[in-house]
Order: sequence, then C-alpha cells, then structure tokens
Amino acid sequence: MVELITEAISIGWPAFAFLIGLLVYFQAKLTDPVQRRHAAFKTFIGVLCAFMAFMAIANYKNNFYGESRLLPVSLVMITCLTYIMGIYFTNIGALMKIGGFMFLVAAALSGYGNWLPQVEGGFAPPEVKLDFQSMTPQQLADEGEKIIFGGLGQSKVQGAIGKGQCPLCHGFNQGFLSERAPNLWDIPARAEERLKHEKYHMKDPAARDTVQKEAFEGSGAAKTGQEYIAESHACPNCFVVPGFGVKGTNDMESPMPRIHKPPISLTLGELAAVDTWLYVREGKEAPTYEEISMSYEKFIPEADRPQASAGGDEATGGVLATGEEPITDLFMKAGCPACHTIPGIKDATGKVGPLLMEGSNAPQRLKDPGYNGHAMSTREYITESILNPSMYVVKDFPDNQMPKNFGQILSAGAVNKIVDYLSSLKEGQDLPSIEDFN
Amino acid sequence: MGRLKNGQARKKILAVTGLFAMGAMLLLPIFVALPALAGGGGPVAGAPPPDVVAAEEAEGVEGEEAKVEIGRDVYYKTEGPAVGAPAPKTADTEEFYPRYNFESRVLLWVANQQHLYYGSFVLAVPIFCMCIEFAGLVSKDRAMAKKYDQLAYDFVKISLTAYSLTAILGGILIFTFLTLYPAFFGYLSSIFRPVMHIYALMFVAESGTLYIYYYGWDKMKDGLLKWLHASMSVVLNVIGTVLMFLANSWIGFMMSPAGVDEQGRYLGNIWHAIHTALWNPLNVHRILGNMAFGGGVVAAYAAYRFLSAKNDEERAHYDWMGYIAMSLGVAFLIPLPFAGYWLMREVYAYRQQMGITLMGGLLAWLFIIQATMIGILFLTTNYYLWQALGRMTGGERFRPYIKYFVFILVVGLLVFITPHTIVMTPAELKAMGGQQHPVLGNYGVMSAKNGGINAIIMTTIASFIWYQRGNRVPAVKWAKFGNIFLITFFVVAHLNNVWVACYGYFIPANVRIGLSVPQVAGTLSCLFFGSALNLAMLSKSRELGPIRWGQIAPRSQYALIMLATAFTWMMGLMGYIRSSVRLFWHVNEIMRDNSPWAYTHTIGFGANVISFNVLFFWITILFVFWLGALGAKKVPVPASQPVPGTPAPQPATGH
Amino acid sequence: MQTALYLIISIVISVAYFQFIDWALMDMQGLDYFYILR
Repeated sequence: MVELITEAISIGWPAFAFLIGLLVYFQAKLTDPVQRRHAAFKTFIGVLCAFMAFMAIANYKNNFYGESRLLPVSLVMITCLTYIMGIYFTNIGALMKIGGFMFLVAAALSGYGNWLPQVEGGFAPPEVKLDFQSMTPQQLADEGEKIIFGGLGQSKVQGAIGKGQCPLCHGFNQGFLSERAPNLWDIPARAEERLKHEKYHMKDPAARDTVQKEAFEGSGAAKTGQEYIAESHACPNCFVVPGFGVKGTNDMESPMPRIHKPPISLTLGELAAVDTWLYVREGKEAPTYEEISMSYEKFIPEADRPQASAGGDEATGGVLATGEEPITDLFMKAGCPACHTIPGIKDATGKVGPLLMEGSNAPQRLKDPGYNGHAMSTREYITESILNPSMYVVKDFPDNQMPKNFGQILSAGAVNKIVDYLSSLKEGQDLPSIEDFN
Repeated sequence: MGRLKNGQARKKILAVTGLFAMGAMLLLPIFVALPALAGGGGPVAGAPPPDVVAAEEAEGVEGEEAKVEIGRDVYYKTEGPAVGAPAPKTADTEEFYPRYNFESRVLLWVANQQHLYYGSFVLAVPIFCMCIEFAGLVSKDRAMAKKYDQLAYDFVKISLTAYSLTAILGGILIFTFLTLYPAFFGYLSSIFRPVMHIYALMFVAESGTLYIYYYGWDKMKDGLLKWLHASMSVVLNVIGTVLMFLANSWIGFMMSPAGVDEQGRYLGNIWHAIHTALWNPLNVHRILGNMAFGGGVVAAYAAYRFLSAKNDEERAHYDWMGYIAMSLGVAFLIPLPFAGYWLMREVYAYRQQMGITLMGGLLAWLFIIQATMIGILFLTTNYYLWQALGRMTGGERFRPYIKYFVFILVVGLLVFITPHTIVMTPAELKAMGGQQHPVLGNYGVMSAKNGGINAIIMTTIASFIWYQRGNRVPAVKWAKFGNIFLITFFVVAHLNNVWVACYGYFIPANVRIGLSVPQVAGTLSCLFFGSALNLAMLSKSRELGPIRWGQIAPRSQYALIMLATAFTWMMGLMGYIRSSVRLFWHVNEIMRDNSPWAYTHTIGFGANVISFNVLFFWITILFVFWLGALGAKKVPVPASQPVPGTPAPQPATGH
Repeated sequence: MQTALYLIISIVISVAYFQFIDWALMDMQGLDYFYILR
C-alpha cells in the first residue's frame, strides 16, 4: 500500500502541484468567503480524485505483467472517482457518469476474463531443421541421445524417454534390468558376434525360421556390425535374440516395432544419430554418416523412408493430440500401436502390451478379484488404464512399461475418442467402422 | 399530374446517371491498374519485371529464363514466376525487432485496435446515413422526412471528427509497424505495394466525397440535387467498403496466405494474394460487425446527449435517435452469428488445426467469454425495450409479464455458457474424474446450448413485438384469433426448442448435430412469421396514446451505453482471437514470428488489454462528442425547429 | 367457448408446424428425427 502511494505520488506529482497551486490561487484571488470555500472544496475533490486516478495507474503499472487479475481493481477505482467527480462537477456530470459506467462494465468483463482458468500458450518449438549430414559425430551423438531419451544427459535417468521410445523395452546401461528386450550396452561389439549366430544365417537369409526372413525381398542379410544394427531397426523379425521373442512363438517373432514405420517413424538421419550415439558413448569411433545411411538404405526401400517434417505443426500448447484428428492418426500420434495390437487400426500390431479388445476385456478385468481400481464401467476402466496404467496390470505383462504421462499429452477430447473406439471392440463381433470415429 | 411524375422520373434518371458517372470516375484508378497487376508485371509491381517479360518472351528460347524460378502457389497450387524475394527469416535481434523497453506486440495491438475502432465507426456511420437519408427521401410525411434528414446530418457530423482521427491513427499504426516490425512490414508491403497505393488513392477519394457530402448538405437539399446528394452517400459507401476489403486482404493474407510459394516468394498474381481463403468470410463478417458497432456508438452518443440535455425537446430528439441507432445496431447483430459461422467453417476448411485451436484448444475459453457477452447483449436489448415501453401509454399492460421473460432469459443464458469439453491439464482431468464435469458435463451438450441461445433470441423477438404494440391495440376483425394464435405460436416455439434441446441427450452425437437446423428454423419462424403476423394485425389499429419521446427512465440510456461498451469489448475480443490464432506466425506457415513475444498471453492479460483499448477509445470519442456539443452551444442551431418530440400523432415508420 | 376453440386450433396448427419443420429439416440432412422410436 505504501509502495502504491509513493508510486502514485512519483507519477502524479505535477498534477498534484498544479491542483494545489490552483487552491492557493483561488484563496488569493477570491474575496467572497462563500465562493472561496466553494472553490477550495472543489479543488479538494479534484486533488482526491487525481490521487485516486494515480493510485489506479500505479496499481496498473506495478501489476501489468505479474498479477493481471489485480488490474480490474484499477478500473473500479476510476469508476468511483468519476462518480465522485460527477456529483460535484455538475456541468460535466453526464460525461463523468457515462465514463464511469463504461469503466465499470470494462472492469466486470476484465474481471471475468481474469477469473476464468488462465491458459498461456507457450513459445513455439524452436525452428530447427536438423541437418544431420553436416554434423560432427559428437553433435550427431547428442541428437541421438535426445531422440532416445528426450534430452541431453538423460541417458542415466531412470524412465527418461524420447521420440524413439527405445527405453520402454531396452536397457542401455551395464547391468540395467532389461527383461523385454536385450540390453544394448556394448552393442557395437556384440553386433559383429550376432552375425555369426547359428540362427542368423548370414549367407542364406531364406533359411531363417522367423516369420519374416528379409527386410524386403532381395535386401539380403547384414554383412557388418553396423548393417546388423540397421537391419534390427528396419526388420526386427529378421533375427530374434533367443529369449526375447513374442511369448509362445518360440522366438520366431519379435515384439519390437519397425522403427521407420509409424508411429515412431524415425528418418534415416535420426537413425544415424541414434546409432552414432551407441558408438560414441562407449568411446568407440562411429562409422561416418554416409556409411550409416548406406546401411539403412540397404534395408529400407526408398518408398518407406519417412521424410523429415518441417517442424512447428505440433505447437498446440504441449498437447500431442487434441481429439479432432481421425482415430487412426490419433492412435499413431499417441504411439499406442508401438506396443499394442488394436483391431481395426492399420499397422497397430504391437506385442509389448496386451491386445486391446477392450469391449470384451474390460468387463472381465473389472470382475478380477485382483482389480483394485475405481472404475465401475468399461469406459471408466479404459480411461483409468490410459491415465494411470499401474492401477491394474494385466497378467503376464510387466508393470511400469507404459508411459504414465498420457494425461499430459492427450487432450480430454482425445482420451474420450480413444475410449469410444476401444470400448466398441468386442470379441466375435464385426469391427466398428473407422469412419464413425473420424 | 402526369407531367409532375414525368419530371420526377427524369430527375431520378439523371441522378442515377450522375451517380454512375461519379462512381466510375472514382473507381477508374483501380480498373486502370487491374490488368497491369493481374499480369504480374507493369511498372507498379516493382523491380523484377524486366526478367518476367524476358521469361515470357523467351519461352521458346531455353537458357535465357534461367534467372526466374518457377514457384508453386501454396493455396491455389498454380505455378508462376517467383518474382518476389522469399519471406525474411527473422531472429530475435534489434535488427529485425527494434524495441522499446516494453512489449512491441502490445503497442502494435493498441495502435491497430484504435485505428480499427475509428475505421469501422467512420465506415459504418455513412451506411446509416444512407439508409436514413433515403428513408427521409421516400417518406411521404413532410415532418417525418425533415426529421430523418436532420438525423442523417447529425450522424455525419459525428463521423467527421472521427474521420480525421482515423487518418491520424492510421499514420500512427504505419509508424508503429515500420519502427517495431520493419522486417515483417517490409515483406508485407513488398507483396501488397500496388494494393497499398490504391488504398491510399481510395482514401483520398473517400475524404473528398465525404467532405462534399457533408458541406453540400444544405446546398443540395431540393429536387434533383437532393437525389444526387443521396446518391453520393452510395458512392461514399462503395468506396468505404472497397477500402475495408483491401485492408482485409492483408489480414486474410496473414491468416491464410496465397499468391506466394512455400518460401514466401510472390508469384506475380496480386488477385491470388488478395483473394485468399478467408478474405470473403472476413469481409462479410466485418461489414456486419462494423454496422452493429456503429449503431452502438451512435446510440451511446444519443444517450450522452439525452443525459446531458437541458430541455425536453433535446431529450425527445436524442431519445428517438438512440432508439433508431439501437434498432439498426441490433438488426445487424442478429445475422452476425451466421456470418461468424461461415467464417469458422472456412477456417476449419482451410486448416483443421486452426479451427481446433480456436474452438477446442488454446483459445476456447475466449469463446466462453464471447458466449457470455452475446447473452449480455441480448439481455440488455430486452431491458432497453422494456424500459422503452414506459414512454408509451398502454406500455404498462406488459409489465406483469416481464418477470417471466427475465426467467427465460436467465435460464437460457446459463445453459448457453455451460462448457462441454475443453482442454485440461492432467491434474484437472484427475480432479474431475473424467473428461467432463460430473454434473455440468451433462448439460453442455450442443443441442442444449443452442436451445439456450435460441430461447434468448425468441424472447428478444417477443419483446420487440411488445414494443411494436406498446401504444396500440389491433383492430382487425380477426384480432382475437390472431392474438391467441400469436401467443400459442411463441409458446409452442419455446416448448419445441426445449424439447429438441432435451432430445439431444437421448440420441447419438451424429444425429444430434443435425438438431441445430430445426432449432434455428424455429427461431427464424418466430422472427419472420411472428413479426409479419403482428404487423398485419396492427395494420388497422387503435391508438391508446402518443409515444412520449424523451419520457423514458435515464437508466434505459445506461442500457444503451452498456450495449455500446459491450459491442466494443466484444469486437476487441474477437479481433484478439482472430489475430492470435496464427500463434507464432507473422504470415501463417510462411513467415515465422521470432520476436520474444511470439507466445499467447493468458486470458486475463488479454482481457486487460482489451479493456484498455475499449476505454481508450471511449475516452477519446467521448471527448469528440463533448467537443461537438461545445461547438453546438456556441452556434444555436435553428435547424431543430421541427421538434421531433412533438406529441402529434406519428406514423409508425420509426419502429 | 370461442376462446377454447381458437386455442385448440392454434395449438394444433403450431404443434403440427413445428413438428413438421423438425422432421423435414432433419430429413433434408439425411438424419432420422424419430431415431428414438426405432
């Protein structure tokens, strides 16, 4: 309050000085005591109102950026002073009353705006069109770390995860638990050994026992360690490390999604960055960008290579999906197909998480004595499973595998739409029409 | 007799011919300029034409044209020579964004908004003038004709001072652009250079016409000259409208660019750059918005003069003026939502993402404010009409029923502003236990919300019908049946509206969205059929007493001021929404805003700046009004001799 | 008596009119107004 008064005086002192000068002038000039008292009173009102006005301005100034909800108070103060003026200065009474009323209306509307939840749109993501080709190995490796873990220096942080989503299944540090997929420590050296594995069939990929024998017809098998890494990204089924296949397939099928395909869709440049990091972090010399690119070009046909997006189209205030996109796009954006098989959604054949036949699954789960969640209905169960995956973990699947931040990256509308779709999937019934959800 | 008619007809023909000649002369510069512009070359289009010409001529000779690249239009997908420079890539430096120790964007925001307020005011008022002057011309009642003419003159008088202020503010706006956003403004003017020149020429033409129109009012008051004078208002409005369309093209270009390739290089077709995806919807929306706004400002002027009036005559005149201005403003307010709907649909068609940001994303709460304001506008209109019943003998018949209307309006408003789904943070989502509020989520269904606003509009229509009947009783033979039918029709319309609103809960979403059409149709039925039936019934009527203009409670005038302020505020709000939907783009997807202010402020901050703009505008315009009144005091105007408020029986044309 | 007659006529016409436009305008959009009955 004292601050406000000092501020008001420091802004408005010329006006006060003028008004007080006027007061003195009237006292000297006017001889009639009634007139003099009248003039003195009016100037006093003037000083009072000027003081209020400058208080209001000071309040506005002080809180302009910080506490914008305090600004309507200024407007109300001005309303008060115009009404006071309107009472005592009758010749401009109408003007003052109208002005005051307008200030009051504006104060109410401003106050309303400030009372609503305050959403601020953050800055746009910086415009970076990464030029992987001209980077030094260290720069490439840094980009790779960002893609895998979401940020520089995040590789040591438990649970850090980036666009590539690799740490969902893979362990990256020596000794880290890595149940679902091989630990990738020392992979540059081990890749060479894998080529000699009895099940790899480097010379004759057709002899493999896996569900997919080549990345694409005629691509052949890897000849070098780097090519092995590239092949594993492009065609996880081509070789399954024993013990890491989809349960019940006897290691013939891998649960890993193809990384260049939606929803992860890493470009060749990004894949090169990821691979470079794998070498650089162990102090090994990485193959050049061109060599890595060549290794991927061998396993990913030109038509399948994702294009680098211009960037900037994901600037919806931190929300990944808004719920207005077609259902397939929505699933892809959210990344569900990387781990789940979702009937009716193209490319959604993930094996890491359970099959999402939720119209049939959810009622059974709710009946499970082990269920401790709060859901009462199918829809509630699905919503709960998305927002709070650890509330109930389906048998034979590990906990803490699914990201817990879907509440942050999906809008309510998006969650709603996903729930709509999943709850309509029932075993033994026709698939719902995709168009109904677009 | 026949001769007289003949003479009149000849005068009319002459007037119309004169009008066309004048219009053609004023529009000449554009027609002359257009072919040159469309060709993409010409001396006006700037530096590279020699290359273009060379490229065109040397089409057969390869190798010569290597200098000019071919670019592809981002919107029209046509190809053209990339004659312009690419959009500059800015960085957060003093070079691209010179600045004071304050947010440049807010400075520009204020400068833009003030120019826009004054601009729309001076564009809207001549339209009213035109309507009122013609109403006076065709009116058979001499006293009424004189009264209308005086009113039109008063309107123009107000806009004249505002006109010079508009020009000054336009200058300030350009300086703000040049000093704070030189890179962006340079790019924009490199594309729109010829348009900007035409704009300036049109501005000169507009000024000339306006001054002749105003100062020639007394000289051109009879016969042919009067017709010519009235025709001049048409020309004035044509020029004003073209001016606004041109200015809109820049905004349209910023929101939905066309005529340039992906790098922002101008492709030589200015019509593509003007005629962007959102240009026409913006044009229509802005014209209607300007008129509603202009009506509000004039109504506020009338209210000011009413409240400061010294005698009954003045009070009567300004009461009447306020009523006319309010009616015009509200008349244009009613189609405004439809134009808004069209604009929104085009936005969705242009970029889905943009529509989502507006209606369901970052800016969605601002639309909640807008919904509230629409409700307030209608409530205030109703309040004014009920107050206005007080100046009519017989108006008190309706008083007991006002409370029921208030009830319907309040319930309608509450339903209307209830949100359904909105972007939430996860914490909010968890706190609410789902995507929708456990209680309110059930009410925010679209058909119910439409029901709310339709109930409000229908009630407003009913209030208007009351007002028309204020001092009159229908005397047609079928009056009894008519009354019963009219009441039943409105009651059933309301019931149907409520039924459809509730029905929406029981049917799936894809069927539900169709319900809005019958709902709107019901409201329109009330508007057209209800008013028509009422007018038919009043065609033969018994008067209970005169309309006592000026005998209205002063609080009614505050309703007018409320309307005006709310219009202004809403205009500021919608302008803010329209501008901020580009998020971090100067020109959507072409030129990025890399200034430190390329983020969206909180709603509260936005609301405060809007309030500041509104109040700044009103303080300055009240000052203009005050100046006008000051001038009027010095020169006693004998013109107001045909006292508008004379209690002589008056025809109903004013209603 | 006359009033009651007029009232009945009015109600019949109004209700018929509004139900008709509800149905017709839904039908024009290819939607089923009587969805709930089926």
